[in-house]
Amino acid sequence: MAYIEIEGLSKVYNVGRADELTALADVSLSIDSGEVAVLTGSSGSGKTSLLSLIGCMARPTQGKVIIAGKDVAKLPERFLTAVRRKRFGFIFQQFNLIRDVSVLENVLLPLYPLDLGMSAMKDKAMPILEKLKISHKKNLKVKNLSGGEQQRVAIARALINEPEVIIADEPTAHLDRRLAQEFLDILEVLNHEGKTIVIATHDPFVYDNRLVGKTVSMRDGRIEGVTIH
Amino acid sequence: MILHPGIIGLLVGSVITLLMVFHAAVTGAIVLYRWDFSSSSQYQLSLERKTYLVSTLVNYGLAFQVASAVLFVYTVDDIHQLFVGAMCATGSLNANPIGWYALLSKIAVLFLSGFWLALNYVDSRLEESPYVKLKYGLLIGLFPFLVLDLILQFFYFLGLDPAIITSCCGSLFGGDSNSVASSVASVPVVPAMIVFYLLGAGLIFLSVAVLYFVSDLLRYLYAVLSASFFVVSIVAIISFVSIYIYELPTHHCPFDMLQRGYHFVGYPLYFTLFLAVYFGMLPGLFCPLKRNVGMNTILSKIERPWIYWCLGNTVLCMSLVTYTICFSNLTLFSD
Amino acid sequence: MIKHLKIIEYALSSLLRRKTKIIAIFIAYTLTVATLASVLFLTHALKTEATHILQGVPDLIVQRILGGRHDLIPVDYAEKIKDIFGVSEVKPRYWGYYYDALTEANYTVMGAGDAALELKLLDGKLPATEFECAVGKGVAALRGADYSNELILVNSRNIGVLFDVSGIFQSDSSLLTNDLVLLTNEAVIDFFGFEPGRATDLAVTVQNSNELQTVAVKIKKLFPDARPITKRELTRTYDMVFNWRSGMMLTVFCAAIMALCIMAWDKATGISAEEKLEIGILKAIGWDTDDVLILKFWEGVIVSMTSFLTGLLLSYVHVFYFDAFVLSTILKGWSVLFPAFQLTPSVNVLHIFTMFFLTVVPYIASTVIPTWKTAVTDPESVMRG
Ligand SMILES: Nc1ncnc2c1ncn2[C@@H]1O[C@H](COP(=O)(O)OP(=O)(O)O)[C@@H](O)[C@H]1O
Ligand SMILES: [Mg+2]
Repeated sequence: MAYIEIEGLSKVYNVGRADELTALADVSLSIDSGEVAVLTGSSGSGKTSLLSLIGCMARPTQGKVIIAGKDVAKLPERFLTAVRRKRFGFIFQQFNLIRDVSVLENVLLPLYPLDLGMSAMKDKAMPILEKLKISHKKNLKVKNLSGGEQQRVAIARALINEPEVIIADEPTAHLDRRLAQEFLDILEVLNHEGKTIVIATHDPFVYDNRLVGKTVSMRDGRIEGVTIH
Repeated sequence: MILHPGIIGLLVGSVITLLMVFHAAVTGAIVLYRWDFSSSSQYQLSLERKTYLVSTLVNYGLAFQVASAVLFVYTVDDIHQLFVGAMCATGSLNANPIGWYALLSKIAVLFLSGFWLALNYVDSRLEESPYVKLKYGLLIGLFPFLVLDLILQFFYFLGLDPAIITSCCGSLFGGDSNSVASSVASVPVVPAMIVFYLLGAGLIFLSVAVLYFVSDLLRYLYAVLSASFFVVSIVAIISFVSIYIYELPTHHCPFDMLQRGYHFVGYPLYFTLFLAVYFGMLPGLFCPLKRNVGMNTILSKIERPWIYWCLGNTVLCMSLVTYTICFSNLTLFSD
Repeated sequence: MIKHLKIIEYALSSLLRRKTKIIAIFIAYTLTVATLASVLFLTHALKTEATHILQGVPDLIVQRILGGRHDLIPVDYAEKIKDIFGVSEVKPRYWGYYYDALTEANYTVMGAGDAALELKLLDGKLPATEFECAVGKGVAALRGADYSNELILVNSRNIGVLFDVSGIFQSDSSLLTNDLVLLTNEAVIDFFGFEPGRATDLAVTVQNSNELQTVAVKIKKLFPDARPITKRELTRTYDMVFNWRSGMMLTVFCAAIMALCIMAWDKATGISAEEKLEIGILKAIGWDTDDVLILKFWEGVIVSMTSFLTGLLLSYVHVFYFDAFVLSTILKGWSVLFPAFQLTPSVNVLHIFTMFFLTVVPYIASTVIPTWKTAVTDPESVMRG
């Protein structure tokens, strides 16, 4: 059975108001464990909306979101957070790091609400920082890092809770070719380690990569077609 | 009315608490009428987020209530100097008998809001929040108690007139009047001790039993026993614990022990007692909700710390009583 | 537990990052606590001083009331009072107030009775002749009258009288002797021009303090124009006055508290875009609304506690090291000599508790709703710029 199952999903913003907007309409999709899936489509086609529903950031207006066999569509926020914390790591378009805080603390933040001691947390973080080659900058504030380094901090933070799925929204939008390649190389390693990866992008450099197993093209909140490579 | 700093502090604190709980209750009422779990509308989501506000408000409200109960006793104790014939809080309370009702209502509000928070805690741990309606219904029911508490407290302080000549613990808890209080004080020491220790031992025994057996009946018994332990302990404190603390065979006051002269021993005594009783009553109170399967499983997990708390505090409370008896210079029984 | 420790650490660092924003609320908070605490510390200290005075006061004082006003009492009342069962001693006391136009201060002029003997002298001896006097520190300082100097006071016949200063008082509680001018009984009678055979009041000593009330009733029966005042009554009156004064002050300062709350509300509501993004990020990476509420709770505790303690410290220094120089101008009514004496430091737990209720509770209450609004920030919002 697929790791992520989506059935008849729709997301309507501002229901009942004049500016009501259907961001997703009757979307069904499944993503297997260990797969690299890419959502493509023009801006406004609903990629980010779909990602946030998959990643338990928001609740759908209708339909089912089944993660590892459990429908999370109607879960109260508190439990949605628990699922998100346990299964997903996020890499955002704007990195979303806390700029005045050190690299290490940024990476550790997802673990703060858990009952885990500081030293145990650091033991978890250090190998990840080393793997991403930023451990030497762990005490620097994020605002003093270059774009590429910030991207790697963001990846480290997404990995700290040992997620099964990595969700990345337009990850290469702010990167040049070389850094984008570096990013894809990191993803490749992670995929080899068994992580499922879901990326939303309209960057051909990403969706044409050999890594990608499934391309889902979207338009106006609907799935136009699914290509399996 | 006396413009004592403690009184002003209490009234300000109570009004604020009341406003907070009022806000919580109104929000609760909205949640109650508009809650639709199956809906995934934005409105339902906003209601869900409001539940966080309600919990936060009631949490703070309860914390303030605990603090205000302590401040109340402290203040009442302090203003005894203003009344002819008053030597401690008893005298101040006698100066305007509404004070006793104010004290009772404070205790009631503490327990009720404590129970509500427990229900809230358990319910929010269930994915489908099955008791939202019950919860907010009860919250609205809790509100009048707080209003009553504030009113009683206000009229108690308003009615205080330093010209009043009051009677104090000496006469209230003395043998020769025929009030409830004095009959409590004249409960003979030996039977009071026996009942106190028997009930305490029973509570400890039941705590262990409840930990190992899932029977509902045991839990109801546990709750009843806890409640009785509260009453019996108060009687015990007036009847014999007090005289050991004061080392005076005729001094039965339940408040003097909160004063510095007695090393504030009253505070740990009452705190452990309240906690023991509160946690001892919880498992029984939640039994009727066990029909819900999710509740049943979650309760069996959450219940354990409650029982530990009850057990621990019962032991602490009883040790404290035993300690004061053993290390008192007063000897009632010579061997 | 560990979770809370980590969140406290983060709360601290996040407060430090927003220093400039926090500083305003910190100052307002500290000042409110400091004013409140100064009022309570001061009244409590004065109360303690008053209690000291009362220790030297006789069990029972008998005054005479004429036309509803205090009048001089015939000394021969003492003989009959002495015959009442239980009374061991009756002593007439001679004293009065003296307004010194030169320094614009009120002195208490008192005849040297037994009570005065118990007071410790700093230097010198008690007045032995009609031309000697002993004075309190305050009087000495005001008049520049040192030991072996002279003191000129104008008597009731408007004639200046010269006294040799034979001693200066020292006492645990300087309030007690600060404004005191001690003369011999005869000198007082002459100075004020009391009618012969009259005293200011009678000090009655009763063997068994339980019988005080009965003795008082008997005196009242014997002399309908007498007003017996027991020590307890005095204590109560003092208490009333002090509580009332501090109560009034507190009521006034409620306005300050209101201002603090409005400011706290405003600060908590007006959260910057940066802060909002930060909360959004925290929620997106796995913090629950509850966790954010805990974070905000600890932030509130840290701000409250630091302000509260700083305020307490400030007011302690203000009242006990600087003689409450700010407040004393408001409280001028006490005495012109007021700023001259040193208050004995003493702090009451009840007052600290009360201050907590009057400042921390309103502060927390006014930040709850804005804080909650922040905490429920939609995590999805950070997915889009
Ligand atoms: N919070 C919101 N409220 C109203 N409309 C929204 C909101 N978020 C997204 N939308 C709209 O939903 C549509 C889909 O947006 P999005 O999922 O971000 O697309 P994409 O990521 O493919 O650019 C867009 O038209 C966008 O304007
Ligand atoms: Mg997008």
